Order: sequence, then C-alpha cells, then structure tokens
Amino acid sequence: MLSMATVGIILFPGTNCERETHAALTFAGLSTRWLPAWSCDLADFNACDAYVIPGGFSYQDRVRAGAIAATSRIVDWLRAANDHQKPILGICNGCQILAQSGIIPNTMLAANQTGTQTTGFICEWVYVSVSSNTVFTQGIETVLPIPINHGEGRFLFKTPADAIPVMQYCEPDGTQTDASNPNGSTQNIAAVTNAAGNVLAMMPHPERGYLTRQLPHHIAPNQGTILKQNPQAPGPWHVLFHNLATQLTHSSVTHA
Amino acid sequence: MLKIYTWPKNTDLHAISAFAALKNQPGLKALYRFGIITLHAEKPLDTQNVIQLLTDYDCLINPNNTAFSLTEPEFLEHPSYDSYCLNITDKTPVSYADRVAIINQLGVIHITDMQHNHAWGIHMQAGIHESDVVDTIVEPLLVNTIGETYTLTRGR
Repeated sequence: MLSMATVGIILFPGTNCERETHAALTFAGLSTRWLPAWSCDLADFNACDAYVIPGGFSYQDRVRAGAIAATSRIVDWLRAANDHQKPILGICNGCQILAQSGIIPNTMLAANQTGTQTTGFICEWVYVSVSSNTVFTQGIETVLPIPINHGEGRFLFKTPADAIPVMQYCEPDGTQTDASNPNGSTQNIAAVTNAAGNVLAMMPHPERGYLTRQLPHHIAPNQGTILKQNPQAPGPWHVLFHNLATQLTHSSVTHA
Repeated sequence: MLKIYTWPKNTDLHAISAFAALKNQPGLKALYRFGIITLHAEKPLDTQNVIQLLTDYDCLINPNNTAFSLTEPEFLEHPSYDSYCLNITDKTPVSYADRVAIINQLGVIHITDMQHNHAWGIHMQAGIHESDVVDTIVEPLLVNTIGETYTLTRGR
C-alpha cells in the first residue's frame, strides 16, 4: 500500500467499466470516490486528488462518442482540475470525452477505418509500445499486450504537431506496421497526453490487464504457473495504476 | 445521381440529446438528424425500382425502423423559423464497393457508386445570423472539423 489518495471515478449515463477501474485503483492502494455527473457536487469533486473517466457508452454515443458528455458541468470542473495539473486518465469512452472536451486539444476519435474500409466495432487483444512521458507511464518503456474494445478509436489531429503519443499499436516485437494498427489511427497512436503530461487519454483498457489472471492464454501461456504461486499476481498494466499511486503519495508528501 | 433522405421512424435520441446539450444557445428551435444516400448510375434510375429496393430489402436501410424520401424531407422547412440543412462529410473517404456489389447482385437497380452522409435540419428563430448558427450550434457540437467537412445551406 503506497497511498490512500483519493481518485474520483467520473460516471455518465452509459458508463460501464467503472467496477473494473475501481478494482484496479484499489489494488494499487488508492481510495476511490464515485462522481456521478448527474448528482455529484463541486465539493465532492474537488476532494479528489486525481480523476478517471472509465469506458462505456456515455449517452449511448449520441451525436458522436463522447460529444454529449463533453458538454456536461462535471467536464467544466475537470477542465479546471486540468488547469491545476491534477492527474486525469480517460479510458476508451473517457479518452473520447477528453478529446471532445478539448482537455486533449485538437484531437478527434473517428470511426475505425483502415484505408477506405470501415472496420466496425473491434474487440481484441493488441500490442502497444509505451512511452514514459506521463505521470502514469513513467518507467514503462516497453511493449505490452492490452485489449481494445471500440468502434470510434481512430486518432485524428488538427495538425501533426498536436499529436503527443504515449502508446502506439505495434507487433509483439515493437515494430509499428499497418497490420498492427487495428483502427487506422494516425501514426498507429493508441494513447496521447497533453503538453504538461498530467493527462493520459487511451483507447485500450488497462483495467482489463492489471491482474495476470485477466490475460488470455494466447497472450500469457505460462499464466497457470504464475497463478499457482499467486492468484493475485499483478498483470502488465498494474504498473500504470501503481505509478499514479506513487505520484499522488509523492505530491502529498511534497505539499505537506 | 439520385439522393435518398433517411431518418428514424421512432424518436431520434441523437437529436433529442443534441437539442438538450444546446438548450442554452439562443434562437435554436428544433433539430432533426437524417442521412443522405447518394446513388450514382450510368443511366437515370427508375424511382419505382429504387423504392422497391428500399422497401423490400435491407441493404440500404432497415425499412422496419427507417423512413425515407426521394425528395427533401418536409421537416427541413418551417413557416415561421429560419431553416438550415447541415450536410456533413468525413474527410477520410469511405469505399462502399462491397455494398454496391450487393445491390447490383439483387438486380433491381444497377449503380456504379454510392456515398452516405449524415445531415442535420436546424430550425432557428428568424433573424439569427448564419455565422451565429455556425459558432453556437454547428461547430461546438454537430460537426467535428478535425475529421469532418460540412456545408450549411439556408432553406426556403
């Protein structure tokens, strides 16, 4: 247990990955607080040290994914939290909301499309190469498997300079190819950050890989041996939540 | 070239949510969301055959839940309000070659290409300037100009 800092989990009508996100955060030693967009007040919101917008289909993806949620009051508060450089993680639909709201500026998540062919909804395990340029990914300079689950995950940017990649789709050996880019994203991008590095907007789902037992057999063929020794063995994405806990502990010590 | 206008027979939740999200924008009176399917052919298409394709098959629309018209839908016009048609196109071109092949296999019509766009009908209080419609309604929510282009045309 590194910290009992509190992470606010922001809920919209249609959010559906909040329980796994809560589990991944508490496994990393963090306390969580539900922040329903329809009822939470500013005092509850401001009491949190960091924020996560989990995956799902906020407002049924009406107009386009994340567009309606981005107009809500709680996202205005999130902009203010971003101004204070509090850590913010958006996963899948959360990533789409961060792009729509401008917290990740000049970015759009368009419908999956490779070449001129639309691919529809994709649900599969992929590999991403990770850069350590955010508070969440410090020290992770490696290739990791991760599940994706989206219909609108193709990163587009207003200009090439607007793209600050944190994760890029790749082959298991780290090579970036068109074949390893499942949704046609610009530069194979799977996750981006802002200039300050306090925001991580990622389309893949790290909360579905924080325990070894969440990995499918074709990704982790030696899983049985690991789990025999420790059924709660951390998975490859535990480090992302652990980094957040470390960061928040460090911040609270620094500001004490 | 023939245009088919399509919209849901049931309540359009996209339009309801967009209207709710824009409720504080002055002058907005109503929003409608619809699709525009454009069929290209070497010879003029027989409209009766197109109607048969739309009602007897589900390769273009699901006729159980989707209404259609071969002329601009009536809801685009309003006697008291200024009406606009917002036609949205993805910047990345999409190929419908597979769909064209399926349609041609049916033998009802023969087409060479097709496009599918989303569009919005916007009713505004009379007198609101078009640039305000763009600044308060179109670009904040209905279009994402990073990946989409649009045309906004004033109705009658």
